[in-house]
Amino acid sequence: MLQIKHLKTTIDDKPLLKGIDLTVQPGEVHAIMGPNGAGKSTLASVLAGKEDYTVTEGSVTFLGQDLLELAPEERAAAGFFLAFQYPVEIPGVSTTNFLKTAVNEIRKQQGLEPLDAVAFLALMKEKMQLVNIDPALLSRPLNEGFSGGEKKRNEILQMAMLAPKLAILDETDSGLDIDALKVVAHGVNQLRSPDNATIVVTHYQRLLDYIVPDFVHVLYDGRIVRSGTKELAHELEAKGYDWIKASVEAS
Amino acid sequence: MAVISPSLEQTFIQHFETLPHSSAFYATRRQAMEAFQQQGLPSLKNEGYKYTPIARFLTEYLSRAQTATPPRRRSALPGLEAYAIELCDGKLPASPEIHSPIQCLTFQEAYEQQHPAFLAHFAQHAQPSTDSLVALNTALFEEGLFVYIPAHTVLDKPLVIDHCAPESPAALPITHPRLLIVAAPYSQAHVITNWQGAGLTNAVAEVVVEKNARLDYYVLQTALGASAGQLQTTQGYQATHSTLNTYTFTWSGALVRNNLNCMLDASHTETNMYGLYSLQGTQHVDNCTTVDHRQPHTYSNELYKGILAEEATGVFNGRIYVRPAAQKTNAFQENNNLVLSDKATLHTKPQLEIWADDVKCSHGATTGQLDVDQLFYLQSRGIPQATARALLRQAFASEVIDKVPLDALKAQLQASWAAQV
Repeated sequence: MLQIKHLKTTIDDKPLLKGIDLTVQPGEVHAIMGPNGAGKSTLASVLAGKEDYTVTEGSVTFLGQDLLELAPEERAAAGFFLAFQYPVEIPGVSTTNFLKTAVNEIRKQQGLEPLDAVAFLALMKEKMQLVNIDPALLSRPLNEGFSGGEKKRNEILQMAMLAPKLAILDETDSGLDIDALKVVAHGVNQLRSPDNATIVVTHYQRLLDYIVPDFVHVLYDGRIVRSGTKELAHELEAKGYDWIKASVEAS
Repeated sequence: MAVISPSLEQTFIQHFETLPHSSAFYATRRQAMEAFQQQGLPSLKNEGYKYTPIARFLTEYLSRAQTATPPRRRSALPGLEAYAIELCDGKLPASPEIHSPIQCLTFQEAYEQQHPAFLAHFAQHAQPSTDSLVALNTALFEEGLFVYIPAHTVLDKPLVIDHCAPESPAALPITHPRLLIVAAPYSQAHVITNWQGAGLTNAVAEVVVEKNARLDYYVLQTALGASAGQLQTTQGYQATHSTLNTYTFTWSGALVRNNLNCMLDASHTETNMYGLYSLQGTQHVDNCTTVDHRQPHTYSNELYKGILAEEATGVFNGRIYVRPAAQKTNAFQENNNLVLSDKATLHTKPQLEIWADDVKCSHGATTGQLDVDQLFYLQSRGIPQATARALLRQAFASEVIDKVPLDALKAQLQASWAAQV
């Protein structure tokens, strides 16, 4: 589904990703862990198509397409989704209107008829239950004045509405209390299927108790320095990132 | 200093000389004409007109051959249930009959009836001696319209005053429409002035809100012709416990200058001033607002927003005076602008003069482009960049449009705004 080959990127000529290789198959859940500044969010942003980064080397293939050649909206239409670490507030655009526009713009790019108001509301009602979101939030401007937990639930609601093939959750656990974390994880787990895949980017092992990964990768200094199964996450939790840093520097 | 080209001045003097000496308003006109001749049209040396070359625009406009008759547009506000009055070529139908609880009279009729509110307020608020555009209008106004909302009357539907284009601009190069609204004590009404068509206009409205009355006053400059020039003075005057809300929407015309002045001459008044200008091409729009807090416990709030594309020019000048007696004043002002092109220009100038020491005043002005993070967020959800930009522009504009309390008008404005973008 996703093949990242030797991906290198810079921002203002400063190297950030220094050669990432990663393959994700349908049905898999991958976790990317690593200390602050390792490049986790950079990787998520580059895959989503944020303009600030320059790709200097490597390739990303997503469902047979060259992902890096696509505009951000085309990536979304192809089935790629990024749940943002810091969802932006957009005053003046109601959450419902935004969701309807997004759903129908993606349908348009996929050559499908737009959903009418009734079908859209039915879909939204169904998906809202997944993340237990307050319906009053949806008539409010997008993310404006939402709490941290509400913003993250809203990200998962958007993911549910857009039904991506591959979703990257960028530090979705940051700023969440344990109850909100369970709600978000429940939503993600409900959306898992043999056809789609999830990449969970996180700093802590905690989220992985609720979203159980098939593979865990450790990102450090712009490279994946270690890959393993979920036990690797427990090892990291026990030994800390200094253990990784020491073993990388020793080799 | 009179800064006025001889030919332009001649045009106005010739016009003045055609007016009948026998008119009840002749003495007022005469004085105003003298005041105009002393002041001349505002020049660029005048601080308040630094960015808006009125004399040059008028001269150029009048020197152009005005042959084409602009199509007359009617009923620009379909779907809005309202009492309607239509003025054409600046002229009113005699005794405008609108079957409403309010009175609409021509100035002549109001004078003949010796209507006390008319006599008390006509030409008492907009001052020819200090404002040459007011002077010019006072000297040359066509038949004025007097709107009287009787005490304790709550008007069930808005009153729409439609100004349509002159059929033949050459016959009357500049029109000088004049309006006097008096909202008597404890009354409530919405009055909408809707400006359409081409031509040059130098309009004056005196808006009087008496004790405990509430008036919502709208100026719609959304269906003017592409070459239209509009000078518009609104002079508000508020008595105690009154509320005046003004809404100014501008996205048409070549040159527009709006002078909106609110005089808070009693305590416990509330004034809200909302404005949205959305410009493209070489449009030039200048909003100059003044709030004069003269008595204690008054509240004013102002929000003007602008969107400037292509080579448009926007000017916002917001003056707030808080006089020594006006303790416990609350005065807020905000001017936010989106500048979407390298060639668009915006001048914004808050100007607060505060003499009282126990007041709460704030102002803010911002100018910027669309937020790249917001754009990226929308795009990452599958919304193409052009659509995302339009959505963000609309979000910016709707903050002002959403202030309109009449749902049908709000919908009209949203549609009209979206159509011109």
